[in-house]
Amino acid sequence: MQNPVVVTSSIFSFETLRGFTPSIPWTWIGVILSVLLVEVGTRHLPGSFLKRSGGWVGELYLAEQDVLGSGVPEVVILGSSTAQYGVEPTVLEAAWGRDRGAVVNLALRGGGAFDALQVYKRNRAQLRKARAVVFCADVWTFNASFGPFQRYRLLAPLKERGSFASSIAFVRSQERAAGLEALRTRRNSLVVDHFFKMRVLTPYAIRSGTIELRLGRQKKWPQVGAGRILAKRPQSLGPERIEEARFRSLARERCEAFAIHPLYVEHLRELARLLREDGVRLIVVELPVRDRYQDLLESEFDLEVAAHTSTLASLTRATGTTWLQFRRASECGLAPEDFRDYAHLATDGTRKLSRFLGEQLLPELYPAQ
Amino acid sequence: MLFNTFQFWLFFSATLALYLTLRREWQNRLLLVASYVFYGFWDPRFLALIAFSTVVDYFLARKMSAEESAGKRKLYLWVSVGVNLGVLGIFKYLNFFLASTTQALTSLGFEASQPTLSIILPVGISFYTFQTLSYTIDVYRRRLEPVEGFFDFALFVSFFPQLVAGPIERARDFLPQLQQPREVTAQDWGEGLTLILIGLFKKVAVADQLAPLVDQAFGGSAELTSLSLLLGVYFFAFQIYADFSGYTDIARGVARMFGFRLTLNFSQPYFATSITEFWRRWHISLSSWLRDYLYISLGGNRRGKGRTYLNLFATMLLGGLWHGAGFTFVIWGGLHGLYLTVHKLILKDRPGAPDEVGRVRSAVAAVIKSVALFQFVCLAWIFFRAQSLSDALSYLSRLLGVQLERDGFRSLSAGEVRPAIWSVLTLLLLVDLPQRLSGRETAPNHGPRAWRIASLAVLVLWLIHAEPGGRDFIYFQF
Repeated sequence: MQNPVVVTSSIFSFETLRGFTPSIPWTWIGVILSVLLVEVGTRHLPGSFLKRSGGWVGELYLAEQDVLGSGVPEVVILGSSTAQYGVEPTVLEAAWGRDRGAVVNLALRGGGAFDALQVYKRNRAQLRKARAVVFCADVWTFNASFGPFQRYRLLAPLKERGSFASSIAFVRSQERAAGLEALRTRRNSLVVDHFFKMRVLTPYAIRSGTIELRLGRQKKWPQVGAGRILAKRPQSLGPERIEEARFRSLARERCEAFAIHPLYVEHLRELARLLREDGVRLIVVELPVRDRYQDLLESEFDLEVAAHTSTLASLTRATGTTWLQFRRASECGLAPEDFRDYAHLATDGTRKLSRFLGEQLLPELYPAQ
Repeated sequence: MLFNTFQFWLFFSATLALYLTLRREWQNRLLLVASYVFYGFWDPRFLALIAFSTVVDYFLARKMSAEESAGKRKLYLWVSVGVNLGVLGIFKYLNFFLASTTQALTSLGFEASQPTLSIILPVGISFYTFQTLSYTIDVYRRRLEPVEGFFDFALFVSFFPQLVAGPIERARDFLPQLQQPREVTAQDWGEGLTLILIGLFKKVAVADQLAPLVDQAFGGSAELTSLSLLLGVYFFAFQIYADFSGYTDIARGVARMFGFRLTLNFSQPYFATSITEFWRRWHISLSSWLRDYLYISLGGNRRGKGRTYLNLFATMLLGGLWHGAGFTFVIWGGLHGLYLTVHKLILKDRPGAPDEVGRVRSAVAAVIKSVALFQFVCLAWIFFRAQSLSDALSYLSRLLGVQLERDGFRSLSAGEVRPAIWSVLTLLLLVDLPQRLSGRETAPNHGPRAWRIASLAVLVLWLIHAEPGGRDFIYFQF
């Protein structure tokens, strides 16, 4: 019998895999399942377990569950810590002659337009019954280099995460390269965050767990009260030791590598659209900061402040939104002693500013009065 | 192309997929092309340099082997050493020597201006230069036959997993693997994957996490408390260990998936109980290279005690200089040379296998010795990490000067320090300790299945929590 002729390629062969006997990798499957279990577990952690003041995500749950609760407010304050510290709902209610619970302050530390949009969307059923939403903007609200914070990492839609770094134009071009690189890295993080929400949630879960087990330090003051989240330590303990000499570095932190982020602008536009749909009025307010700090911003970061102002101007014009600017503390009757630091108010300052705001907003909100 | 980037894993997967379909000879060609592509990603100009080094050493080794005359053989060896060290000297040390000479002339009263040349240091040059040098020296010593195929030699010089930061392979270990049939088993892949996971964990979850704290501590401008400075140097000790051993773990894991076994480069060095043992566990491929080609060439321990100590000291000094052109590295090497000499003088350590040296009477004594040794190693790390000699001395004086928070000094942020400590503990308890106890480098993937799943899952979870992107590996600069 003739031997069969075997023709083999001179290049291709799977000779390296001759000794390879495939088997089911149970250990690795177990590893993947364990990781998925942790991910699913953290995704399903109840908000009540995560809520905590002083935590970026915890504050969101705290605001929703303990400040808003099941109430149906007439006026909702949204914004960042300047609004959280600066606006006292009870003072506004007294000024407008409304019942307790008519005004809620849902401002969050580091809160920008995205956070405002999320708070509204997540609680739309209750908030759509409000008369107005007051969004308090800061000079960094649209700055691409500031944020995104943990709440964005947790809640942003995937489409936004992927395009996070596109179409960014820096106000001062020399910052562009470094800024873009930082944004690109942040975009990668954001995409990973979408698939592994444990990256944001587990630190809160661990901290909550240790506190629940009484292993951690116990908080000594209430987290919420009078319609808002309270400062981590009582505001009356201020002022903090933030010297004027540090204002420059604070301003630099917020305004260096300044770029208007189209997504951030879009978030506010989307909020305006939803509110219009629901028949709720939107008022944009810029809260005052220490005069010295504002002077510094206007002299050293003039282009950045101008970019912020023109963005806000065109957006409010396009959406037909009322825009109130109170940038300088002295114009609102506030003295440097009323502040804990460059922008956050101490107890007396909060009451003064709230009274001032009550007067300014009254004709907008309750013209008949 | 960094190991901790998506780009690399895409490149690796494509290369591996194609590799598995090919015959061995073609596999070697593919790996050579892939290695040059990998290296060219840093700067295509560097390819000419590695090709030059390859051509010179390939032909000189063949000439040397064919030559009977001892004089001519020596001449070829010196040409090879001269060319390799010349290239290394120009690219790595020229500016350092020019600056040092200018400084010396100035201090002697001569007027000298310092010429500075803008020379880019080709990545991995110290590693592949030492690799090719070991080849020609082995051929000269008739311990190795020169390789027949030029492309096989070129692959030995440029094999991409270990090209830029080692381990420094020996030709006698690597070349036979190129020339023999290779088989990849499921166990190879399992162990390769485990090594890659351990390496990525070390790099991304430990080294990169510690990096910002170390940068703060060694930044110079920040007035940190002494405790923070102490933490800073401890963190650097683990940063550099995790960074470098992480790289070699990945390199060995990747090579393993191609069917190659690379030299072990780290073996839980911070569990060492003596400085001699430390050097048998730290950067093993370099320390054994220095022993075989420098220490022994200088006479080793064959010319009396005094000369032995001198040889040891000189070897460590040059080992320090290998890391970089700077007096800080020289002092780092000098300190280790001193430690080794003193250890040999006082403790009369018996040379032997690492296990014998590392064996101590009781576990408590071993822990005390390891902790004490760690302090000495950390002292040397201060010089290694500082930007200049004056920075190192200032760091030391601030560390020993008892700077306290109540005197207005700042501490490292507790929020950053806590996860850093956890990552170091995970490294020690989940990777190094099991490796040390079991003697297996893939220890987290050995033992009962529940343990394997739990420990590997913890490493994966750490990786997930780390920030993507990442920094360069520290040893790339050497």
